[in-house]
Amino acid sequence: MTTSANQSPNTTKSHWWWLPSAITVIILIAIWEAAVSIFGIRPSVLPAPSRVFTQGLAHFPDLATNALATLSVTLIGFGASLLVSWTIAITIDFHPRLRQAVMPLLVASQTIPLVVIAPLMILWFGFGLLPKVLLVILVTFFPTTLGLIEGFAATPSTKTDLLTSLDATAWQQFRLLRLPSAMPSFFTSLRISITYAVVGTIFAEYAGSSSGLGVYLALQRNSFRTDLVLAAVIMIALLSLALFGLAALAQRLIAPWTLKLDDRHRL
Amino acid sequence: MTALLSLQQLQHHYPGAAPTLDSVSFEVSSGEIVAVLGPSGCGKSTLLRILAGLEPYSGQIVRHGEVKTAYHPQTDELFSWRTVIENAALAADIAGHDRGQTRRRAADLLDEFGLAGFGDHYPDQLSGGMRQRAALLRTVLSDRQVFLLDEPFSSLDAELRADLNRWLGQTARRHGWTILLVTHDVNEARQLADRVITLSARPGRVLNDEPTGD
Repeated sequence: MTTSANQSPNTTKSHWWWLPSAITVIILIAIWEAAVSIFGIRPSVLPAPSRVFTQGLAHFPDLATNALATLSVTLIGFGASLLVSWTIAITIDFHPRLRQAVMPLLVASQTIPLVVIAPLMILWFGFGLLPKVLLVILVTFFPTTLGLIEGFAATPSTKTDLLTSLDATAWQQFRLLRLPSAMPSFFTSLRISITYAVVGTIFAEYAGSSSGLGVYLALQRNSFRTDLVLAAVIMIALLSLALFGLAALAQRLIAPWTLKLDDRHRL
Repeated sequence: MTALLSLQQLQHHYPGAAPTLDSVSFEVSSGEIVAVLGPSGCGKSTLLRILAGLEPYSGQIVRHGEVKTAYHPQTDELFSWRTVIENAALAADIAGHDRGQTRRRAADLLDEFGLAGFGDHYPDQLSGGMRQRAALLRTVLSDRQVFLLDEPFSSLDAELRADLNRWLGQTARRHGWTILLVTHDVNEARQLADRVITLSARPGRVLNDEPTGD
């Protein structure tokens, strides 16, 4: 009788996974640097990457302060967004009839153009934290809500039958089966929405705020400091990457079974 | 032998479809292994689902002395987020029994179930045969008096299935388990059961109910 566990032999790839993307980035930067000097492009139109880097470094304290402001709004807004999506999804899971009633509203909320709603939010709620948090919720709650609703609904009926035969209550069905069953779908949607969160925050700041990378971007663009605009863009990309990594880390800690056996212990 | 379950004139049909079961009556006694044999679609899985409380029916099921059944579906239905021991303790967690005690009981049975050293493994780290044994451990630890096994090893290859059937027969008799098992395989039914009940094609009717005689 076989008692061997399935262990994949392929564990060598883990150390160099970042190399291809690093090489791609280096090649693109080299082409950009060369193009700027060969064609003599003015820095206000397109600064060389070296200039973006040195100027970004020179203005780093300013950039960092604003990045920190953006990060804190993003995290608060995204936390609130998760609260909203979990509340909606759990409510719909326990009252499936609500799905038809609520879904059109949720979809409609996603058709409102940000350029329209952002200034309105500022008009209604001022320059404080609230309009920015609301905007981040609006931009990010939909993918996670949908991911959760579909995840709960994807629970196999055969497993539900098993729990029913063991006299599990509705709450036990949810806690022991539907909640863990929804995790793969939830974490996929989480990785999507957390990257939207940064963009949502920047947009809210851009529309009207006193600090943050969105404000910084508007300021530098108006004074034709394209190099600092690009430095801020890099900052935004780094923030998004960090948050994406945070989502992946959360998945590893909270729901390791959703990962392939190979990836479970890799960082 | 005392009767644990009496089925009397059991009928079933899915809404808008022809009847699945027609006047099925038989008894299951304590410590007995009963196989229900029949062609595909004769309603034998439905019979187990009725006894597991998953399907409405007409007729009567007498449960002598509050007898409860443990449903063991065709596929192992292990939860991928629970280890072998946690899966085995599922029923106890639902019933609100002491967690530590059930886990210790599960750990004590690992060796007998061929799962020694795998208590803390997750289902995707197990072979097909081990998954079936882990599922069976879950059924056994549900502390219910009658186990309802729906073609438990049907997903495995013939050789492994024969191995597991032999093991199941021996283990069940050693512990005195009461099993009602469904299969479409005559040899499996003869090999494992004390009694074989043969159902007709749909709607399932009892054609024959006799001991295997060994």
